[in-house]
Amino acid sequence: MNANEQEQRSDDRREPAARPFDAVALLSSMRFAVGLVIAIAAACAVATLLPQGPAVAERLQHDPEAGRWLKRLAAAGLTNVFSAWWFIGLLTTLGASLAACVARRVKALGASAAGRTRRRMAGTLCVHVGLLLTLLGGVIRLGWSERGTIQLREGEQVAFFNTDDQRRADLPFTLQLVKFEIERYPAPGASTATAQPAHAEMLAIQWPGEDAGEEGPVEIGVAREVKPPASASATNQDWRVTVLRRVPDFVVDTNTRTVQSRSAQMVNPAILVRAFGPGVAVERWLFARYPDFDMDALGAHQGQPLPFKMLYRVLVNAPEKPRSKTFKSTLRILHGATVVREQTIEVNAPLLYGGYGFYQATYDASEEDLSWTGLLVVRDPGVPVVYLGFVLLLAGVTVTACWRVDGASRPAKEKVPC
Amino acid sequence: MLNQVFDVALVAYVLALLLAAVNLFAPRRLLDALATAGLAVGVLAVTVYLGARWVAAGRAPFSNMFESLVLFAWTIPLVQLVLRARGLMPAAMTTTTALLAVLLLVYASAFHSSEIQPLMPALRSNWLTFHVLSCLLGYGAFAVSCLASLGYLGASREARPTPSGNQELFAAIMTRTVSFGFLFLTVGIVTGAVWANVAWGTYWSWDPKETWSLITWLIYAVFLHGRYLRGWTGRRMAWLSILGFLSVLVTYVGVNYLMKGLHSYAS
Ligand code: HEM
Repeated sequence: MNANEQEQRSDDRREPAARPFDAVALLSSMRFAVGLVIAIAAACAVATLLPQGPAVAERLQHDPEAGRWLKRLAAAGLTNVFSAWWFIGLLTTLGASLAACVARRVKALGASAAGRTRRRMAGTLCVHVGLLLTLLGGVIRLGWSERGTIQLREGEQVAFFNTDDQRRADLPFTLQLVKFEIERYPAPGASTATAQPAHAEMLAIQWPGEDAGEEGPVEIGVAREVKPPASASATNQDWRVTVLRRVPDFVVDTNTRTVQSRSAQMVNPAILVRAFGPGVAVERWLFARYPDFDMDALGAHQGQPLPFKMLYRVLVNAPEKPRSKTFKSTLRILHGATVVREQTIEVNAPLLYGGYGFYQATYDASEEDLSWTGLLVVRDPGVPVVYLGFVLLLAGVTVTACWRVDGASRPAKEKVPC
Repeated sequence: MLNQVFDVALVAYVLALLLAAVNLFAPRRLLDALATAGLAVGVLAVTVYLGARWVAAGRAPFSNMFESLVLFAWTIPLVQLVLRARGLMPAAMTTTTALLAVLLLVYASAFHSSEIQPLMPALRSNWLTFHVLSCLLGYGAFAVSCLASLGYLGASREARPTPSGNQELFAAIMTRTVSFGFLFLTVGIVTGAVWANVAWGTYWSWDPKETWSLITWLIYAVFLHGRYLRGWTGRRMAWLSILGFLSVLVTYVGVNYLMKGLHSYAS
C-alpha cells in the first residue's frame, strides 16, 4: 500500500461522508500540514542565509554592486521574509490547519472511551492547541503591541515613549528615574593579596640633545651595546651597559653598607648598572622614582662622568578596567504625585506594570556620562496567550514523549490508535 | 584539580572507545561490559568536572563554547548509557558515542580556553541553566539518533541480530531518541523564549539561532508525525533523522560562524 492509499484510507475511516472537496478535510490532513511545515522550514532557512531588513542597507554600503540582485530579492519578498505577506500567510494557513485538526480531534475525544488512548489523544490535543495559542499570541503581537525606547536622566520623569516607528506613544502613568548605577566584577587579581599590577621595566640611554632616549629591557647580566647617535661625533666610541642587580624596594643597611630590598613591593625600585666605555668603568644605582638622582655603587670609583644619561623607567600598566557585571536603574511609577511602585531593574529583571514592561537596555558605553539610562518599553497583550500556549505545548509533548510505539521487542510497524 | 578531572574523563572515554572498537570486531561480553564501564566512568568524571566548575565559578558552567562542548560530551554518552540500561545495546553505538565524546573533549581543550570567565550582564540568569541544559540534552539524544540512523543505513537487512546491531535495533533507537530529544528541544526552545522575553522584552525575534532551532524542531515534528501516524519506517526515517541532526549542527555551531545574531556565544 503506498502512502497515497494509506492517506485515503485513514481519511475515509475518519470521515466516511467526505465530499469531493472538503476544505476542513484538506486543512486537517497530515499531508497538507507536512507540506506546509516543509515550506515554512525552507523559508526560514533561506531567510537566515540572505541579508534581511537592516542588514540589506549595510550590505549595500559595503558593496554597491550587490544592489542589483538585492533589488530582485526585495521584489520577490525575500529580504524581509519574516514580515512578508506570503510568510505570514503560510503561518496563518498552518494555524488554520491546526485549528481544523483540533476541531476534528475534540469531537473524536468526546466519543472515545476513557483510558490510554484517550490520554494520548488529550496529549496531542494539548500540543496542537498550545501551538495554536502561540500563533494566536503572535497575531496579537502583530496587531496590538507597541515597542519603543526611553532615555532618562536621574531625577527626570516622562509620561510617553518614542516607538520604533518614530511615533510618540503616551503612557497611562509617569515614569521616573531615581538612580542609575553600574556594578562591576572585582578587578582581575584584586582578590589576592600578593597580586600586583603588571610592570614593564626599561633602561633608557639618553644622549645630550635627545628627548626620550633609546629604551631597552631590563635584563640582569645581559650586556647592551650603546652607540652614540651620529650627531654626537665627539665621542663616537661604543659603550657597553649591563644591569647587574635589581631591587624592588631599595634600602642601604647603614651598618654593613650593603644594599637590600626592604620588601617585595615596587616601593622604591632601583637597578645597579655598569657602564663600560673607553677608559671608563662605572657602577651606578638608578632609581625609577628619582630620575635626577643617581648614586655610584658603594666601593666603585666615584664621580666619573658619562657622556650620556641613564634612566630607569618602570611603567605601571593601568589595571584593566573591570568588566561590568550588571547595570541597574531604579525606577518609579507615579500616578499624579503618588508613587505606586518603585523597583530597581537590570538586564534580565524588568519592571512590569500596567501591561507595560520596562527593560534595562543601554547606557553611555563610553562611560563619560553615567547619569542617564536607556530603557526599552514593550506592551504586548499577546504574551499571556503565548505563555499559556507554551504551558500546553510542554504538557502535551511530555505526555506524547512517553509513548512507546516501537521497542526492540515490538513489531516496528504498529500504529498508534489515535 | 579541575584539569586532572578533565583528563580522567578523557582517558576513560578513550579507553571506552578502544575497548568498544575491539569488541566490534571480536565480540566478547567482557569487552562490552568494560567499554560501557569506561563510558560510565567518563560520564561520572565529566559530572564531577562540571560540578566543581559550577562551585568554582559560582554559577552554572554552561555559558561559553568550551563549557557547552564539555556538556555535549556529557549528554551524548549519558543518552547512550540510558539506552543500554533499557536493553538497546548494539556495540556500534558504544563505539561511536565514545568517539564523539573523545572528539568533543579534545576539540574543546584544543580550541577553546578553559579559563572561568565572568559573565556578561545578559547571561546572568537562571533561565540560562535550564535553557542550555535542556537544549544540550536534546542535542545529545539527536546525536545518538543520527548515529543509529547511520547504523541503520549501513546495517545488513537481515533480521538476524548481530553484535554490532541490526536494523530493527537501530530503528528502535532512532525513534526512541527522537521522541526524547524532541521533548528536551521543546523545553529548550520554550525556556529560551521565556528568557528572551525577560531579557529583551520579546520572546521571539527571528534571530538566526532561534530560526534554526525552529527548523530543527519542525524537521523532528515531521519525523514524529510520519512515524507515529503514518507508520513510516526504514530509510526515509533514517534520512530524516540525519537531516534533523544536520540542522542541529547548523543551530549549534554553524550559526555562530556564518550568521550574525543575538546569540553571540562562540566568540
Ligand atoms: C509544527 C507543528 C505541528 C503541526 C503543523 C501539526 C499538524 C498536525 C495535523 C494537521 C494533524 C492531523 C490532524 C488530524 O488527522 O485530524 C496532526 C496530527 C497529530 N499530531 Fe501534529 N502538528 C504539529 C506538531 C505536533 C507535535 C509537536 C506533536 C507531538 C509531539 C504532534 C502530534 C500529533 C499527533 C499524535 C497527531 C495524530 C493524533 C491526532 O490527530 O490528534 N503534532 N498534526
